[in-house]
Amino acid sequence: MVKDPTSVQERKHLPQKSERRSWALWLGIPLLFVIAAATVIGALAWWPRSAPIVRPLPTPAPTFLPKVGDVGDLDDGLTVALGTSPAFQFESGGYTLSGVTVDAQTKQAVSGVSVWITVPPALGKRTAPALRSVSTADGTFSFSHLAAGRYNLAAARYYIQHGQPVYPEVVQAGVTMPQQSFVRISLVPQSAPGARPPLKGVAQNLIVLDLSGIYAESWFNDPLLQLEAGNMRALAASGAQATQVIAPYGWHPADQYALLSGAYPSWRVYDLWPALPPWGTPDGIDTTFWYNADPTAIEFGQQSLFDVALDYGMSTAVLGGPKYILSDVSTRGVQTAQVGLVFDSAAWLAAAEHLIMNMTGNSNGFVFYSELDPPFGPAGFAGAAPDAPGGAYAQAMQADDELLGLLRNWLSGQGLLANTAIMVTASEAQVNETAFDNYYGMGPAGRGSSLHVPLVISGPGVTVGATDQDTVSSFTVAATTLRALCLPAPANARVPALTSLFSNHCP
Amino acid sequence: MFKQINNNPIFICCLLLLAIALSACNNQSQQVDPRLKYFVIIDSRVLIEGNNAEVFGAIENTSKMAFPFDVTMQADLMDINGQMVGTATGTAEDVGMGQLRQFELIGTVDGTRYARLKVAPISLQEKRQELGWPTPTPISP
Repeated sequence: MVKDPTSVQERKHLPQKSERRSWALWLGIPLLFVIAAATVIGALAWWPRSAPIVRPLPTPAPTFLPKVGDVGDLDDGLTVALGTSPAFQFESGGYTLSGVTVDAQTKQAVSGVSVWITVPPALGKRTAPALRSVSTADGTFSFSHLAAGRYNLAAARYYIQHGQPVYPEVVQAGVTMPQQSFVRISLVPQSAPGARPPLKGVAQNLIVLDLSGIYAESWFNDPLLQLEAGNMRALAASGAQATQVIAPYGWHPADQYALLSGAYPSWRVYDLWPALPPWGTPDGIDTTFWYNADPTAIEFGQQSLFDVALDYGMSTAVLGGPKYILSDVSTRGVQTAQVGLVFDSAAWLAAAEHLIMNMTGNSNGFVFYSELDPPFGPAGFAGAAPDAPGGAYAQAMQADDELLGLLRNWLSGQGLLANTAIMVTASEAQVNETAFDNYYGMGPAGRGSSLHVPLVISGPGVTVGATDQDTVSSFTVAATTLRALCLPAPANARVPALTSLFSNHCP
Repeated sequence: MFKQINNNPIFICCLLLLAIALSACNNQSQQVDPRLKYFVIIDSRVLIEGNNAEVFGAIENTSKMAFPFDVTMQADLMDINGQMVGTATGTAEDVGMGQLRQFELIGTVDGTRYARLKVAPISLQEKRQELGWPTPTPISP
């Protein structure tokens, strides 16, 4: 067999071609690989990642645990821990409730309104956390996947948007699904000028000290506690006082809510007002009072004195202890809240001074609120009785009083005392010990001294020596503090300001 | 050996491409999303507990973009002189066109020095809804 020379020749050249091909392959394959890898890296870097679908895990059914009341005086709060998904909403299906938020005066759509929906609270029944929606540019909002039933809606807008007014909370109760699939919520506008012109004879700044846990009688009437109340009595002597201020609740976190908003949390908790039950008796409020959401959720609520101050361009700050209640009212309008401070006189004073100094540059003034929370000792602790000499109660009272004196001295040294009103009151008067409920008796109105709180105010525009002896709810505190600044009361405040304490006039 | 690798054209190509890819990534991290300007901080406030800071507030989407966005924000917590004393970050989810959403940012701060707060959106992630989920039978609340 003769071999084709050509083929032989070709064979001779084959190694060269094969070398080139293998070179090309050797170069090309890794090159392609590198290009592909670079493309993938680039794509990952440039292209937006699609959002992963998160399916909520089923939430275990919450258990209703009524805890709070004047009967047990448990110090563990009253919050019923609930899941974040309310029982009246499904992942999908159900009904849709739509609506629009409008200005009650102009009838125009209002955007940015927070709208909440929940089932109405019912005595003895577990309720649910609220769902929230925010109205869009055309004022519309919707809640989807709702179960059939009756609902309560609330809406508010406290943020100042594009020079528009604020809209305090309104409630629309008894909306029935699926019969009412569309609701129209009218919100009453409230002026929010964003600035506050200086007024002669009117306080520029306001400091509110909440001395919780000390009876009003201890401050002003108990001869055995005179030494522990020197600065408080001096403040009262330099200003005005209301002597019969009664808290709406006894031991209850809602006390603070009442103090700051001048109202009950009207639909967030079960509310029997105005049928106030006799103090100290087991009743509907004492045994079935609960929040229908985590109070730290900072959700809906009435307008607070902080909201009003912010609307007028004031700075706001809060200093609170470990038990400070973080509700929407106590934080929403507060620009700086410093909480969790374990009570120590020096540390508290330093923190208060720091917060106040940060706000003094604001020509519109500031509002500073602090709940003083000295330790009373555990229940049953020796000296829990107000008159126990040198006991925990007396020591707590003395610590409060000392700080009041130190703060006033510091304000004076900073030149702030002349343009700052100081209000001292309490969100609760009941001492931290059930055995000493109503320690000073039931009082002439029969309400009990555990509800009797102090109210003293001193500063520009306050009538020195004025005393208001009428019995009044501590709901007046919110309105009265703002009256000291010549600002309007919070929108939902149930009791007006005690104008008899002031000598100036507001425009 | 090293000389051989250094003269290898594939190795040079790889290095070149890798450099291009890394450069792209680097540019991406430095590039400011022009859509951020549509997201306006309406309100902000801080809650300080020890060294922990929680910044709350509201952000508004002023754009006309059809899909909602997850907006990541950073809060700079400063002292009276503008020096940083803490930061907090977090995301407001599903901020749709014309919508206002509340947010919560978590971080740390030196509470003894804190005086001022500045919050700004720093990144966006577009959200597209996926339809067609099964509908379970409604139950009573």
